[in-house]
Amino acid sequence: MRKLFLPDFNNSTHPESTVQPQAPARRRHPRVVVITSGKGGVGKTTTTANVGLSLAHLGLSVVTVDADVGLRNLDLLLGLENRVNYTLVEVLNGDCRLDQALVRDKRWSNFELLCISKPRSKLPIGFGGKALVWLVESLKDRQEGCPDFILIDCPAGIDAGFITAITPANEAVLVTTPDITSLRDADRVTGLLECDGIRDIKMIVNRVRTDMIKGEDMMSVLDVQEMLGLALLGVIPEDSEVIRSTNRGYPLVLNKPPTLAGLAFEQAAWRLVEQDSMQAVMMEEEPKNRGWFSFFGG
Amino acid sequence: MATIWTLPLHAVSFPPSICVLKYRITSNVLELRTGLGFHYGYLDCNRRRTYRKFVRRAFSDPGSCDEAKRTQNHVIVDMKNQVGRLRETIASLPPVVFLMERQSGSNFAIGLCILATILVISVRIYVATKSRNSHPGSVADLVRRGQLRSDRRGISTPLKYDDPFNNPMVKVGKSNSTIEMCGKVYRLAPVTLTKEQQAIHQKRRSRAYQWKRPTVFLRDGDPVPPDVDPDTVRWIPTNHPFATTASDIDEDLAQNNVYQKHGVPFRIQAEHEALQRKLEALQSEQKFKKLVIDPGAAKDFERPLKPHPKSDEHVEQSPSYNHLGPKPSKSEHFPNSFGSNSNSEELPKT
Repeated sequence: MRKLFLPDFNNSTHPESTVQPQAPARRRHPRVVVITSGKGGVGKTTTTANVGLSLAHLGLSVVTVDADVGLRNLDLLLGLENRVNYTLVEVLNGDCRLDQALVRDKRWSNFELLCISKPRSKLPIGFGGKALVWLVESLKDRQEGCPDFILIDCPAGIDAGFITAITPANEAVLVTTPDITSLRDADRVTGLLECDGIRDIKMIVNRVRTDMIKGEDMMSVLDVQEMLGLALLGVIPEDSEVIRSTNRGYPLVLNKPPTLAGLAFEQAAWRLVEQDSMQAVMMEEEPKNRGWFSFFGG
Repeated sequence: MATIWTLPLHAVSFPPSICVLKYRITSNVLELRTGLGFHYGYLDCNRRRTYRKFVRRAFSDPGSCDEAKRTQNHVIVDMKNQVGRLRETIASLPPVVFLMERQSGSNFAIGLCILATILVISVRIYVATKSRNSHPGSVADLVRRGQLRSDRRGISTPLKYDDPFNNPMVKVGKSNSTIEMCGKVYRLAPVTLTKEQQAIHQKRRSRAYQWKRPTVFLRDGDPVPPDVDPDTVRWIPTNHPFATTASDIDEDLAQNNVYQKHGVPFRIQAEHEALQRKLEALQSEQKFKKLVIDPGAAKDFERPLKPHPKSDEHVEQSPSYNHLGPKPSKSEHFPNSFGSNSNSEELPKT
């Protein structure tokens, strides 16, 4: 069961996989991953921020793109909202260069953020997809080197914003919650992604409550997987720290000691690097055996 | 009321005969004196008062001496019985002081252990509370008060990476069916999805969802091009909040802007050049305006004027001609007007 829970380093397809995490050699082609869900409010932006920072923590070069044209949130979660001066729209218009629009996180120099547009600016429908493709091409041969990962935070829905965000992607992470409305939208989005040619789709089940699953008030992760038929990248338990981290602009994975959700995000990031998936899931919480010194908190 | 702690002290320090109520029975008065300044709870004052009254009544009758004697003896016996009972009660109380003196060493150890336990628990509670409150949530308050810049929120030094799978917070149970994360124990269950089931789901979705990426974007009223697949046409509603004309944007220019790595961005450069040109134009215009016409030099170019009354009137009637717009040179203006007038005048003459 340990092998089922922990990633199988021996059978990993990643050529640079080792027992100890090491930054792989810089690749010429970045892995462009779109994080989508269909339904809003399930945790796409939170997942993008935390998985992105976990990847940067691992020593990988990451560029995150907030592809929501009208409503921008990723900068708030990362605590970088005061540093966004230029967006991709300004780059397209010639008001600035691409490197001037990229916001580098001062905490990790290998993590950068790019917002597509400011709230009141417009991007022509049908043009955004091309712009993102040009963006990926431009990032490949920049002076700092090609990034290892480009994470695109997709807006909710299946409208123009969704079409724009999935254009340059060759992998997808589908974020869903264990409720029926989210599952139906997730299934639809998965179908659209497959129609667009994206076949590597993995799932993160967010806001899982083991107590409700035990009381049969919530679908289990295995039920969700049975309904959607997607490989599991991660299972994130419900955690009140998520709200605190959002309001503070301090992502969850940076907390010391790590919270349960933070650990789960880190593990999901590592599985993304290794192109692996979960082989076992955590079911219900068992009562912990308390020893003699439990009275003293041991 | 005497407590258990004080009672035995008095029982030890004073002889029992003194630790009783003293009654001084005189001929007509019964005095009740409590000894040693403390009271026994079971000696009811009311009972004493009634007893006093009874004895007083008993003694006040002078006639029945024998009876009084008998009563007196009876009273003395009762009092002795009561004193005896008191002594028995006192003797039956556990000599705690003796016990304490004998076992003071172990009691000290017990007390010490209890104190240590309380100390450990309070320290643990304090540490837990402090760690709970040590989140940088107060950073937000500092940002709100303007004492900290929001772009410098979070930690200033990078964290050392911890492998999430070798993290001490993650412990897999010995039987490999449980895992402990962050102090909570969870039961593990294997994933049951197979490759065949995944393929079945993919087929189901391909049948259910038919979608093609839109490549042609048309507005209401635009004709559909003949060689375009209708499934790839996307209609832009006229009231769409983010709809702009596609022809407004030069795609090649936009692409070049994205690929630009060095130098000044295109629009900034264009604006700068436009500003430069405007500045140069303004400067040349100002130079042109500063040019002054020398009247003395203009006279050299004038033709000699013939004195004619009507020509003088024409000149006087059009004073505004000289004031409008850029003033032409007199040599250009006057000959024309004068020449035309003179021609008109001269013709009738001839």
